[in-house]
Amino acid sequence: MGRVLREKAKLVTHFTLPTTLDTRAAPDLLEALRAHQGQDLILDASKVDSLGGLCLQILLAAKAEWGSSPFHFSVENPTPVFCEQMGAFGAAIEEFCLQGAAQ
Amino acid sequence: MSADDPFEAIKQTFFLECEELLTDLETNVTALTFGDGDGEAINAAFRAVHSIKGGAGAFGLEELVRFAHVFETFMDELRSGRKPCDDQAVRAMLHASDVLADHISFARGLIPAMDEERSNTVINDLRELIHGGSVSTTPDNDPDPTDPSLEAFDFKPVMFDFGALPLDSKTETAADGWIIEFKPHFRLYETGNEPSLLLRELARLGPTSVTIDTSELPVLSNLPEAGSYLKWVVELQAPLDRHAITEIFEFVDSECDLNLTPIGGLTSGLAGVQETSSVPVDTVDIAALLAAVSEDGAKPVPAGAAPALAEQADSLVPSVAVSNDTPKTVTAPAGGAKQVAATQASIRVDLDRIDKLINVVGELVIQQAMLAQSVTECGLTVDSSVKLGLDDLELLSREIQDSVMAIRAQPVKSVFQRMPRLVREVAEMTGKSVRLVTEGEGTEVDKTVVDRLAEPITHMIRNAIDHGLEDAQGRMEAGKSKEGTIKLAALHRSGHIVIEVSDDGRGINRERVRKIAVERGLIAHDANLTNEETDNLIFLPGFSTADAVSDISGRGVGMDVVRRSIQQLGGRISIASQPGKGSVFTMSLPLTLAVQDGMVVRSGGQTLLAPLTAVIESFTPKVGDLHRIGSGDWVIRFRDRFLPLINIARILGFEEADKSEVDDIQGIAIVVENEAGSQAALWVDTIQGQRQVVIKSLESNYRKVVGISAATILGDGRVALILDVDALIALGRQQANHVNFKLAS
Repeated sequence: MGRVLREKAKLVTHFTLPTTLDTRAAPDLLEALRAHQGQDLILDASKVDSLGGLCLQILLAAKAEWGSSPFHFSVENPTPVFCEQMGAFGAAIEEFCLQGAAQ
Repeated sequence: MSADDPFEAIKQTFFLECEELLTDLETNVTALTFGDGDGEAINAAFRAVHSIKGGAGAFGLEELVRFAHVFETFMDELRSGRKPCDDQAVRAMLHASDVLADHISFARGLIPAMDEERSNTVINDLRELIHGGSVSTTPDNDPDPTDPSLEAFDFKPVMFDFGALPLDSKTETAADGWIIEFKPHFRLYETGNEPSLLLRELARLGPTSVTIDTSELPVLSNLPEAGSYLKWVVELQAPLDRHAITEIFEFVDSECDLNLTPIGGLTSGLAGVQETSSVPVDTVDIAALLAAVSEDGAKPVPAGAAPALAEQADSLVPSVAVSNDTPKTVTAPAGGAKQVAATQASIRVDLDRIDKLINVVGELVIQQAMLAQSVTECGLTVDSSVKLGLDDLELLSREIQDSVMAIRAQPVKSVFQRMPRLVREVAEMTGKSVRLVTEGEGTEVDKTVVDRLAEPITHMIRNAIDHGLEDAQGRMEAGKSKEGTIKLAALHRSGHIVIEVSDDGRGINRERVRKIAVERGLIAHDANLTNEETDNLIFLPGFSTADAVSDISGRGVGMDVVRRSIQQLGGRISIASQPGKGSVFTMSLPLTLAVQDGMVVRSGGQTLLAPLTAVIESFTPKVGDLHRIGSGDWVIRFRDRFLPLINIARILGFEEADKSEVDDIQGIAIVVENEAGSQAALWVDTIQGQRQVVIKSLESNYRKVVGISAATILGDGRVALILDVDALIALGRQQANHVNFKLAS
C-alpha cells in the first residue's frame, strides 16, 4: 500500500513495450529499461504479441533490479498472448502484475 | 572463400544436404497433393524444412532462415491439426517449397538474384493461412525466426500417439516421464532459435510442467547484452523414449546444456548406463569434424564459427563426429542412434576422385588384356598356370570395373524430383490442370548421364503440357477428365536406361505436322510417309508447331534440341502417338559414358570402333549392290533402299584419293543411323568383333577430330579411334564421295 501511495505522490514512468519482443528487440529493451533505473516504472504490455527468451530474461532481470530497490516496477495491461507466453516459459505473470495497481 | 576453407567446405556440404532435404520435401508435399500423404508426410516435410533452417542459421543465411521459419510454422499448424491440410494448404506448401529452393539456390550462388516479390507473396500467403487474415509484408513485419508471433500461443498439450512410436526394446524409455533441464547458450539465440519453440515442442509430447530457474540471472544493471542465464526445468509426464526428446533439440544441441533424467527409472535395457545425459557442448572435436569434410582439417576455424560449425558438422557428418573425448555417459547428441546409424551407411566422395579411380581401373583392364594377349602369343597352353591365373585376373578386373562404375551410378530421382515444380509452373502458365506421375525413380544410371538428363526431360514435359494436353474444355469435350496426366518413367532395358515421357492428351496432329513440314520444305508435298515417320518429323531441326513463340515451349528450337542432347549422350529417342489418346516419348540412353560397346573394324590399315548404338546391320555387298550417282557419290542397296556409302578410310584421310574401280568386292558395309534417323553405310575392310571399351577423351588429351568422338586402347595396346557416326554421315554428304570400291566381277 505504501508503495502505491508513494507512486501516486511521485512521477511514475510508463513505458510501452514494443509489439515484438524477440531476440532482435532485446538490446533496445535492455537499454530502455536501464535508462529508467532509479524511478518507478510501469511497463505497458498492451501491444505485445510475442515474447522471446532474451526479452523475458531482461524483464526478469529488471524485476529483480527493481525488487532490490525502493522503486516500483510492474506490468500492466498484458495481452493474452503475453500472459500465455509468460506461462509457457514457466514465469508467473502475476508476479509482475501484483504490483500493477497504478492504472 | 577458398575451396580449402574448412568453413566453406562444411557450407558446401550443407548445400548438398539441402538438395536431399528438398527432395524429401518435394516427395512428401507431392504425396499430399495426390492425397497419398498422411500425418507422417507432413511430419517428414516439416523435418526437412526444419533441418534446412537449422543449417542455414549456422551459416548466417538470414533470409533463408526467415523464409524457412514461416514455412515451418505453417506446417507446424498443419501437423498439429490446428489448420486443415486442405487443397489450399497443399498449394501453399508447393509454392513455399519452390521459393525455399530458390532461396537455397541464391544462397549457393546458383541464381543471380532472389525474387523478393514472390518470396514476400508466399510469406504473406502462409502468414494469412496461419493467422487467418492478411498480414503486411513490409520489411519491418517480415517474419523472423525469433519472432514467436508466428507461432501459436495456445500451448495446449497434444496427445501423442504412442502406438505409432517404434519403441525399440533397447532404447531408453522412461517409465513415467522425464525431467528435462535445458539451458540455452547465447549462441542459440544468435542462430535464430528460440527456447519458447523448443518448450512448445516438448509440450506436444505430453503434459508438461515448466519451471524457470533464474538463480543465475544477474540484476538488470549487471546483465550483459550477450548473455544467457535462464534455465528451464520441464517435467514431461509421458513414458517416452529418450530419442523423442533429444530429437527436438537436434539442431541446437551444441548451443545449449541439456540433461534428461527419467522419472520412475528406465523401462528397458541399458544397465550400467547413467540415466542422465548431457549434450557434449564443449567436447565436440571440431578439427576432427572438419577433417571429415575437408582435406585441410588443420586449418583454423574462423573466430566465432565454432559453435555453428559444431552443430553443422555434427548434423552433417555424424558418423565421424564425436571424438574419443566424448564422455561415455553422453548419449548421442539429439538425433539419436537411429539417425547416426542411417548416416553411417553412406559417405560423400568428390566426383573427381571417383573419376580418377575409374580411369585407373580402365587402365588396369587394358593392361590385363594386353598381358593376356602377350601370354597367348607366347604359345602357353590353355591349362598353364599363367593362363589360368590371367583368367582369374580378368574376372577380378571386370568385377572391379563393374563395382567402380556402380559407385558413379545414381538414381534418376534427383532429376525426377525437379519436375513437379516444372509441371506446376507450366500448368499455371497454360491454365491447364496437370497431374504428374513418376515411376522408377530409383533406376540408377551414371552420374554424368543423370546430370545431363534434366534438360531433355524438361523440354519434353514442357512440350507435353503445352502441345500435348488439351485444356479443360477440350478434355471434357473429348470425354476425358479435366486433369491431364503426364507420366515420367525410368527403367532398365537391355543394358540401357529408358526414360519415357507420356501424356494422355490429343496426340500428334499428323495432318498439321505434315503440312508444316511441307511448308518448310522439310519433305516433298507428295512424300509418302508412314505414321511413325510423320510423327518423327517433329525432331527435324527448326520444326515447331507452335503458332506463336511462347515462354513455354514454342521457342522455335523444338524437339531437335532434345534429340541432339540425347544423341550427345549416345542415346536415341523415339515417339509413338495415338490421335486423341496421347503420345509417348521414349529415350534410350547408355548406363554410362565411361565405357562403350562397339564394333571393332579395320579400315585403311587403322583399327576403329563403331558405337554399337548406331549400328543397324552389317553385310557383305554383292555385285550390283553398289551404284554410282552420276560421276560422284556412291550408294548401296539395302533392303530395297539405296543408302549413301561412305568410305571411312577415304573420308578420314587414311587412304589415298580416288583410284579407278576394280572388279572384286573386298569390304563390308555397316549400316548406321544417326540420331536424326538418317541412315548410311560405312565401308570398312574387315570386322574384328564386338567389345566393350574404356573411353578416352581425344579432346582433352589431343584435340577434337572431325568424324572421331573419342579413342580407346585395345587389348593389344593399339589405340582405336571411336567413330562419330553423325559427323561421318554429315561429312559424307558434304564431300563428293569419289571412293574406290572394289567391285566383284
